[in-house]
Amino acid sequence: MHPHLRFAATAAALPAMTLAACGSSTSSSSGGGGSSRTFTLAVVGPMTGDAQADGLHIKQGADLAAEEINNSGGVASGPYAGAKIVIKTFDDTESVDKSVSIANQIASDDQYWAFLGTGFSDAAIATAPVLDRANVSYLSTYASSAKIIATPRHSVFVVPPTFPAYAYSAADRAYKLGYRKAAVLKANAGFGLQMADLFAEEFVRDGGEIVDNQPYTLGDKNTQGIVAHEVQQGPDVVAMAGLTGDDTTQLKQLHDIAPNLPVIDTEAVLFSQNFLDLAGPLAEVAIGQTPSDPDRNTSAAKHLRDAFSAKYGTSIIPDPAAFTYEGVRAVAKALEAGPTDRTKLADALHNVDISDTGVGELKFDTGGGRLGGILWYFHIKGGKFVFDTGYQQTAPLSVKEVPLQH
Amino acid sequence: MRAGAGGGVAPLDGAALRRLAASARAPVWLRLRLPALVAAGMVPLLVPSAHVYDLARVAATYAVLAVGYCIVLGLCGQFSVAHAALYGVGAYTTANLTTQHGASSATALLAAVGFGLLAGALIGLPALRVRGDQLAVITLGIGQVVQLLFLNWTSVTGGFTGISDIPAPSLFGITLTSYRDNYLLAFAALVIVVVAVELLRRSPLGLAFMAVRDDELAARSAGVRTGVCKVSAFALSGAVAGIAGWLYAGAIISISPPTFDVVLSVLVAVMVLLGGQGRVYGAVVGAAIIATLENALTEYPAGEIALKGAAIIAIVMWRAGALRDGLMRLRRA
Repeated sequence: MHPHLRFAATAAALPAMTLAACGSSTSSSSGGGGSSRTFTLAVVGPMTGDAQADGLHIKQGADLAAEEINNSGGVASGPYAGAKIVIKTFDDTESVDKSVSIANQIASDDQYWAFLGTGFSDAAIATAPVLDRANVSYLSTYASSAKIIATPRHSVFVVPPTFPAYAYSAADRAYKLGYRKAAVLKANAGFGLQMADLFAEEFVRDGGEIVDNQPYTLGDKNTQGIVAHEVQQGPDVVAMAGLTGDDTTQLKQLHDIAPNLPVIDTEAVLFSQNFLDLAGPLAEVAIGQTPSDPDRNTSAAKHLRDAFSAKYGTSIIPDPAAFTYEGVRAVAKALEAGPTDRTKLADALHNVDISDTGVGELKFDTGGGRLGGILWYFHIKGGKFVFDTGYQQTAPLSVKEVPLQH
Repeated sequence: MRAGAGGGVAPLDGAALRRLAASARAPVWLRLRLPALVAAGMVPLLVPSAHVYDLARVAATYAVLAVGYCIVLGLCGQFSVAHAALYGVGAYTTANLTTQHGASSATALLAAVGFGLLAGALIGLPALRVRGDQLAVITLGIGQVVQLLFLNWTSVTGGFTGISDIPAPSLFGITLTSYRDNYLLAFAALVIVVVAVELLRRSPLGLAFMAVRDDELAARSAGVRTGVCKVSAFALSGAVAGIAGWLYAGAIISISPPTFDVVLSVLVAVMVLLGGQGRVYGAVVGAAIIATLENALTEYPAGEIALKGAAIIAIVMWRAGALRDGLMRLRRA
């Protein structure tokens, strides 16, 4: 073929190819009304890579909630009564730019009614404005930096308690347990740095002293030098602000030089079978937090525990699973109000109030933050989580201790 | 009438007349290729879907980046693996100025072009001393250093999280917020860049670039200042990458360092090679293919990794000449 004709033919074929590539997305948007209608939710997290356990947990929570809603007849009431929830999973590979890229795709594709997930706060902070500008509801179901909602955004919601709740409660808990000298090990990423700063701020306010505050590169397994430096400063507790894999690695490194030095988790990443399996007996020095106390004695909590156990074979509900489960439930509840299109879903989400999702009460303040979230504190004994107390977020920058609900 | 071989005037034959008529007409790129490009660019408007516009916007932005890279690889024959870093310079300049200093989009565009030009010239300096694969390795290193800068110069770049809430582009008092607007902006930029590079290609500077590409020693012997040519090619390429970065930052709203990694540089090189080294319109086609593949593979990260792996293999094969030979064999078949 003549080169000029070849170019013209290619130029004509390319847009057609492009449109064909888009076709699969645009043609499958939800349609119809009543029981035949479906609402597709994009569930995003690190499904591969170092943090794939978080991604798996996000997916587990979403799948469980969708299955429960659909098996009980779909959306419970309103103009969409009987409509089903469809979960479509995306892998952001724990990368900020990939999360943003997926968010842009979701924002430009009206088949998706909401975006739930992302594994960590850096991704959520970057993703939130993309979705908000497109008026697509974003429920952050694991990441919980206060920065996600620092700028008021009508379409952005943070399902977990925000960072201050985690860090302040960890500082208060450590101080209450009698620790006065804390060393901080923080991942050199937005979430790690923010959490570490908040922990240090509250611990000093309580009367404690920060004897060391060391960053490490997220995912770096060669942190022996940093860990040794921390131990040399003579702390009586080490506060960790990283992900499960990093915490486990550092736990082993700490054990080699200071076997009985307790560690306290500020990121709520330890409450999983995965951590118990990875850390083994070393986990016994860890103090952690989670929103879902497996001994919480309410009918909704029991139902969630039983359902999770039946589907996944464990009653330990990891945080990303618990919050994503709640996020899907919140969307289904909001759909009962009959938002005419996805840009109206956020209005309905602001009015959602579920008295007990199984994790706790779920409602949002006007800024999209969760109201009244509780973190339950545990220590580990004999390979089991033993719960001691709870801390409730009473305002964006304040927590108070609350008794267990056993 | 024309001058004959013996110095006299010889009558025009049919072939000469056709050549003369052809030379009097507008060049092929202006008569055929540019209208075809504009026509192809209008196709997304026939399907008014945000998803289509967004994909077309990505393709057009990639095409701007690839056409810019054509200057350095296609025209001047310099193999650089730092083009994504220049794209990042444009994007971060835009993001920083608009979010932290309240600059307008137009100011940010000028700054992105300026910083892209400057960064391109700096990245091009090693080309004065080394060439070929050695230059590729050095630019690879520079690209990594720039990415580390994006990651660690937190006060300017936002570090790991990057910069969010970048305002939508606004030109001549019109803020372009919709997917359609952003696509049309990217496409308009592409047409302007294509015309500019076509004009450059036919200018004395463009001819000098090609002389350096084809035979550097011969070019130098003929009086071409090869060093100036190389640095100029890198600088102009950087300026165009700055425009692409400006388009990207305004449309994507949040930027972060991983976008501007070496894999993107390799993909850009593949876009150019897919269309044929030095073929400006070919680079546009290559960019559209890569953008479409990336989009189709969003839900399949393994496929995306495979695409990037294949791109790296393709570049290595191209450097070894195997790709060229294979393509030629395919064409002959």
